[in-house]
Amino acid sequence: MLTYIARRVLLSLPTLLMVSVIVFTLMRLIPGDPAQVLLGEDADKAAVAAMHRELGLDRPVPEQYLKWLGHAAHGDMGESIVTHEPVRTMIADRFQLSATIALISVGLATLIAIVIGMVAAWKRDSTLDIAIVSGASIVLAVPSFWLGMVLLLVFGLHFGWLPVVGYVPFADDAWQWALFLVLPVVTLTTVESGVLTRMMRSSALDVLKLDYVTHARAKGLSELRVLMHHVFPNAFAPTLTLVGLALGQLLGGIAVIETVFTLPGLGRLMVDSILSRDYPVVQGCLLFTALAYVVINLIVDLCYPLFDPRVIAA
Amino acid sequence: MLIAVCLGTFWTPYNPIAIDLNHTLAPPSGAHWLGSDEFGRDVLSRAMVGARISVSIAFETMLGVVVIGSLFGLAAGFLRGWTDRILMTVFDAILALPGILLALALIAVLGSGRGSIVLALTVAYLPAVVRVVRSTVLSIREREYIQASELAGDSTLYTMARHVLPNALPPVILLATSVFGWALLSESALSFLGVGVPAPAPTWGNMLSASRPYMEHAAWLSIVPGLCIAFTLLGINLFGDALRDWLDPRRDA
Amino acid sequence: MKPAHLLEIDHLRLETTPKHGEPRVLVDDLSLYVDAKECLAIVGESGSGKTLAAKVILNLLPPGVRIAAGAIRLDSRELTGLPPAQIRAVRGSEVGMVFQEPMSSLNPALTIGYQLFEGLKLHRGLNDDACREQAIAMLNRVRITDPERCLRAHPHQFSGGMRQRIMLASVLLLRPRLLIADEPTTALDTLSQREVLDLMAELARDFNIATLLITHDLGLVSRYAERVVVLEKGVLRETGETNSVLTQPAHPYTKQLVRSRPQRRPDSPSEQPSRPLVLEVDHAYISYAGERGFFRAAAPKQIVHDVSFTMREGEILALVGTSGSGKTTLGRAVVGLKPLASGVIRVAGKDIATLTPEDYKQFRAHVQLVFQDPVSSLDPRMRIVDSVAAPLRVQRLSSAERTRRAEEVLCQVGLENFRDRLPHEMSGGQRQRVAIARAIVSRPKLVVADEPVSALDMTIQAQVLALLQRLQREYGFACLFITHDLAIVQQIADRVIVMSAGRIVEQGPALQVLSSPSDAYTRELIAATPHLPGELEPA
Repeated sequence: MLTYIARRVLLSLPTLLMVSVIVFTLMRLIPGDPAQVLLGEDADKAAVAAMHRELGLDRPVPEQYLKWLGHAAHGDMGESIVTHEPVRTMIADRFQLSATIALISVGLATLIAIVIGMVAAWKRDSTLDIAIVSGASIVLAVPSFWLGMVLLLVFGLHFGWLPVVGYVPFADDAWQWALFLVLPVVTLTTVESGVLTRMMRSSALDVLKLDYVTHARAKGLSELRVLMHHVFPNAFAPTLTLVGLALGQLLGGIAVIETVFTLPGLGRLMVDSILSRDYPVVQGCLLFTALAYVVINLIVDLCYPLFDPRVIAA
Repeated sequence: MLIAVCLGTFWTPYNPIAIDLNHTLAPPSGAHWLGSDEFGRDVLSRAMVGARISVSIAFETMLGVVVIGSLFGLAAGFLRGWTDRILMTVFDAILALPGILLALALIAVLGSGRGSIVLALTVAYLPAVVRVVRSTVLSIREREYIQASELAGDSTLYTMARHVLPNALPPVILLATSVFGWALLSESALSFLGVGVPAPAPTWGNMLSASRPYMEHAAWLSIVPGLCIAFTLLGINLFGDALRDWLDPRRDA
Repeated sequence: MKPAHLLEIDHLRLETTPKHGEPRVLVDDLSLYVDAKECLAIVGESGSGKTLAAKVILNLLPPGVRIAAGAIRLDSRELTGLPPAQIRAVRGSEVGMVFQEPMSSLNPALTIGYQLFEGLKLHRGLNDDACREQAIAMLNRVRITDPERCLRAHPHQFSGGMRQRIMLASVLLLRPRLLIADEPTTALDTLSQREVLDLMAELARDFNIATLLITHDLGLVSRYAERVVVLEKGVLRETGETNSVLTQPAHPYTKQLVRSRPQRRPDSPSEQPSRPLVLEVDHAYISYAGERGFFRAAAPKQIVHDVSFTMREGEILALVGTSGSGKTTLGRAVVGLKPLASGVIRVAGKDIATLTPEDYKQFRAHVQLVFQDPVSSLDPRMRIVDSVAAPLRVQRLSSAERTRRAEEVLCQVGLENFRDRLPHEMSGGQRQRVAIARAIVSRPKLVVADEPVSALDMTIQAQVLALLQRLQREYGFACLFITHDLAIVQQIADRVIVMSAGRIVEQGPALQVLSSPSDAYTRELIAATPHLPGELEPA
């Protein structure tokens, strides 16, 4: 088991390294001179040159890269050009909110997907199955931001049950905070459950054909037991991978939801900072999200043996 | 399934129509079937033009991703060794950066405009296709007819082109439909966030974005573009499903 | 009054339930019975309905199949039409079932212990400790070493033969009165097969269990079953006591089945005048690169260890061994698909590891391989005439000439009308004939046949073997025939090499090795091969 863990961790290192290279390169490629941006349009040449030296921009590129990487490894990602806050506090603040929404939504979506996916596979080709598959297909086609807007329209504006704009931190008022989160979570859960249900159903269908399921039935076990103890663990594995991927993609994709519901999350931070050319923040965000993605997938890989013990040997 | 395929061809017709008129914020009526927006532009026409823009962007992205991704996947899967490792590290890294953000960053680098959107989205979706092609190729590689090809004295290149590629295509075609859907969705999301094709060109995404301030009074402005996106995506998905069912029992044992 | 049979199937009829069109009849008017303490074998080829007949007893039919007519009775109690709860009570505790594929019949996600305890807890209501006690006792009975550790382990940690024994243990824990074994050893090699079936027979005697054995192998029927039922396409053709049915079959189909068993060669091979060597294998070692970590290369595993032999033009050499003996790998090495770790392989005098491009092309024309699996050895997207013509590309022939030769060869294997078909439109036997055609189209000097008939039904097997023999006589190629089936060796081979764990254990003229083997392993192998009375006995 330990070798499995060690191997997975080791394998993700080159990827992270490559990510940092890509991020760094991207930043360097963005047109515009950070020094110029800082000092304003009409700063004179000398001031710009001085700023270059100060920012370390006059050193050779590989050296800049290593320096930046060194800082980043220590968690120091510089300061925002716009607000002068340290990048890491900005990320940390925003991350809480985004992570909460993402985790709750994906968690709920997974639970829903497991239940109705397996039921659909079990009752293959029945009316229920067709309904579930159609439902999942429709949900897949609906863009999350539109769904969010529609929900906002109906529940926020029309019925006035839920607040529309803004956000209240948990520390201030837990109940209000929860209210603000309901719609985004519902939106995201709905959207994610589409793809997860389909995956769950399809792998459950595959498992149901296998011999050991027939064997379990031949032992006289009830259908419920067969489904829960024999089908589920084996069918869940591929869906688990998908869950990891979804969570990872959500790190960025959540920007859209945050825009719709005007929530100060990580995604929104990323978008705003790109639009305002706030490079340190952009770099920090990219690096952070990539790291989070790798960690998430690592956790998923670590959970995998619970459902499919064969991977440890492989 | 035939029904699904028919539904799948629900695409709004393309019609270039002038987009500047004088009546603002009018609800749906005889003159404007879907109403007009805050500048008085006909929503229906804008939706149609938006269709053409969004769909063509998605299509080009799909093409690029599939062609380039297949080549890389083929190389990685068949040649293995260092080629495989390096390629996969690069693509895993790209995968680690969330699609939208990566696209945003790329657009910031390349400047906004149609071409850069297509390019950015292509890069963002490349890893997914490469992975799928690679794993398909990996499993085909073990099949005995590939060994038979080697036995017949075929060169590696010939084997790859004549035997591996045609058999690797079906999953790729399927994936292509998914990519088309994702690209469409992403393009809308990007325009929604304000970094897509610049105004006044309409895309469904930026139409949605623009409608936000008017949600209370002009609800249809929010509903229409979203419905367009949803229907098109639904059509694509159904088409993809029908395609999969058609390919499956008839082909490869 | 006659005592009731333990199991009785009465005029059973199984049909498909298609959404459109007419239902297909899968089993028609089947009646059979099994008495306590006896073993009844149901024998048939694929499509005979034998597996369905087994599954229907416990109502484990796959979706899309239903009982159209007939009844099934266990101890005079009607099983058909029982409500689910009651049939579940019968499953496992009164009737147990062992399946064919050991690789997929145990749940990979759960421990062995969990799976063994399940049935006990359900039917007998035992607690953990009692379960453990009984499980360990039974595991010992099926000769699993270290049963304690076995309970905690997962299925993938065991070999096929061991998994089947664990399955047996799992089923017998519940002391059923009837054991249904559906091709329980088809996926195992000869020696494991013998072990598992002997064990099954022994346990059936000790625990007083009746057995219903489903198989396609007449040799197994002869060894283990007192009575037999012969099925063809869902219809019962003959039934009776094994001995009389197999030695004096009454129905034409049974006769055909018996005739399809590999026959001993009518003559001993005449002394061949010394013909040129076509293949020389000199102290060959082949290893398999082990699991690699990211930074370290693992120790290579030896698959073939110091193997040396030769082959002359026109002779048939059988390479025999169980799975893992290295015979397949050796075959691959001879055709140049697997490199040697050390040693030399020479074809027509030239070392195949150091060929000039010209020589390489010649090599490819001289040596061909017929694969075991008819499904995956043909490109599913190519018409068979193109697949057959492919090996000719390496010779400088025009496209028209290549096609012509391919068609000529297809004629020889009797498939001239199939030239434009795709592989999935053909049966297993036909595909294998295509594979043979492809192997001989370049007029090779040496054809390596890697278990070419193992995946085929008995009657088809006989046909394809006969075809191969005929072609070999006409074309005069040498044939390295890799197999695990000694009966086939008896039919076709001039000489034989027996391999075990990567080494040659014995080699010599076929007749001699089979009738008076000098090595213990060979003797074991011969004893384990299921045969009909009269086969495989010393001349």
